[in-house]
Parts: sequence; structure tokens; C-alpha cells
Amino acid sequence: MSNLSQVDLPQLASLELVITPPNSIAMRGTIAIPDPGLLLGGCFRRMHEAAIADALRELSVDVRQLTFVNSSAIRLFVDWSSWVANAGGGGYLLRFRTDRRITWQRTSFAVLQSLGGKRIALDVE
Amino acid sequence: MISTLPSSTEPLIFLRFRPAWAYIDGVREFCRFFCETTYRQQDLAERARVVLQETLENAVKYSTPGQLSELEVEVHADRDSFRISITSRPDPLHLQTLKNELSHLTMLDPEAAYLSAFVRAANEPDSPARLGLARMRYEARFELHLDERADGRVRITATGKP
Repeated sequence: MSNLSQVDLPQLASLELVITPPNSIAMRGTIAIPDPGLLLGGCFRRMHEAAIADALRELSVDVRQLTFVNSSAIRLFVDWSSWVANAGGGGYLLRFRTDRRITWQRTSFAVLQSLGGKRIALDVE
Repeated sequence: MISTLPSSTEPLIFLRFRPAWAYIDGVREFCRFFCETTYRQQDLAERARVVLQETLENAVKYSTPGQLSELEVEVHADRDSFRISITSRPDPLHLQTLKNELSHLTMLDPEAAYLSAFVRAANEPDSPARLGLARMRYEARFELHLDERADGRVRITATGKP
């Protein structure tokens, strides 16, 4: 069984987070809670560490149905991109699947990509 | 656009309420609905939604506790501009941080300022994100202005094209 599939997922009424082994994650809903780092930051970190432990070459994170987030939640993706960019030789390609019709995705992930360099890929639909 | 809007001196929306997180979702979504219905522009509605979320979050997080603490939301519009104002009574320490942040932001164009905020957040993982103001300028395409009032209240006005 993969490490990724064993990551405990937090319970948040507005967000559905689904892991599909070996290397896919989907997020649906909204994140606009006061401090998403407290509730979700650890989960994001464990998913990153699991991807490394599973020696994944690529991890796909589908956010197309994550329709609205606050800036504190955008920070979670900044952190994740930073971890991947600094992971060294054991790292993986973090591929975000985004929807150009959703404003926050169109703007924020393009900036994220410039931050994460070659370790960040965008699929824009 | 609906043709029976009030004159530009009157707000299209005026709300006053206690600075509680529980109200943010409802106020934000009401304003988004109002913009979408009135202007029939989904883009404007989404931009207003971002501005409401970020300004209300800041106002709620940093409002001075007590009976005098309340928030006012005003939405004004005319042919050339669309304005969202949030008036609150912030903690004085936060006010200085806010002024510094706004001053720094306006030295950069919106995209560069947003990228700079991302880099700072990445380099300071244990500090608050502080992405909200830059996000309003770049993602929502609103410019920000701060007014201090003699009674200690502060008004942040976000102005964008309708």
C-alpha cells in the first residue's frame, strides 16, 4: 500500500479532498476558514512527504473544482511549491490541474509556477 | 445593468455588523450575488468576492474588541468606477503594519507585488501569509486606499473598473 493512500484527511465541511493512488489528489469546494494552515497545513505536508516516500516522479493535484479560497489557503499551495522546489534529487513534479475560468486559479497558479520553477507543471483547461 | 440604481453618492449596499468571522461568508456571497445580478458580469462579481473576503478577514482579525467595535461595508458604483469600502476600528499595532504594507505594495506593479508576496511567504513559512492586499490588486484588479478618521476608525477603499 502506498504512503500517499494512507495520509489521514482532515474533516472540513466546505472541502472534499480525495486521494486516488498512486499519484492523484483532487480538491473540491471552498477554503475560506480563519487559519487553514492549522487544519490543512499538516495534511499538505504529509501528502508531500508521502509522495517522496513513494518515490513518485509526478503528483497530480486537481483543483478545478476548488472554486474559492482565501489568501491564507493560497499560502498552503505556496508552501507546497516551495517544498517541491527545494526537495533536491528525491523530489517529484507537482502538476496542478486548473480551470482558467476560475479567477483565483488563473492568477495564483501562474505566479506559483514562476516560484517553483521546473518542479511545478500546470495543466490549464 | 439595471437602470434604477441610486445616484453615485448613495451606496448601493450599506451593511453594519459586529466583526465576527461567522458573517464573512454571508456578506461576501450576498455582495457577489448583488454584483452578478445587477451588472450581469461574472468577472466583476468574482473580483468583488475576492475583495470582500480579504478586506473582511483583515477587519475581523484585527478589530479592537469591545462594544464600539463594528464593521461597515459600503459598495458604490458609477459609470467609471466600482468601490468597496470597509470601515473598522483596528488595533493600532495592526494599523501601522497595514500602512507599511500598502506603502510597499504601491511601489510595485500588481503582478510584481503579488510575486514578491509569494516569495516572502515562501521564505517566511512561520509568518502570516500577507498575500491578501497584493491579491486584491493583482487578481481582483482593485487599487487600495486607506483613510484614518479622528475617532480611531479606518476605512479601506478598494476601487476598480466596473
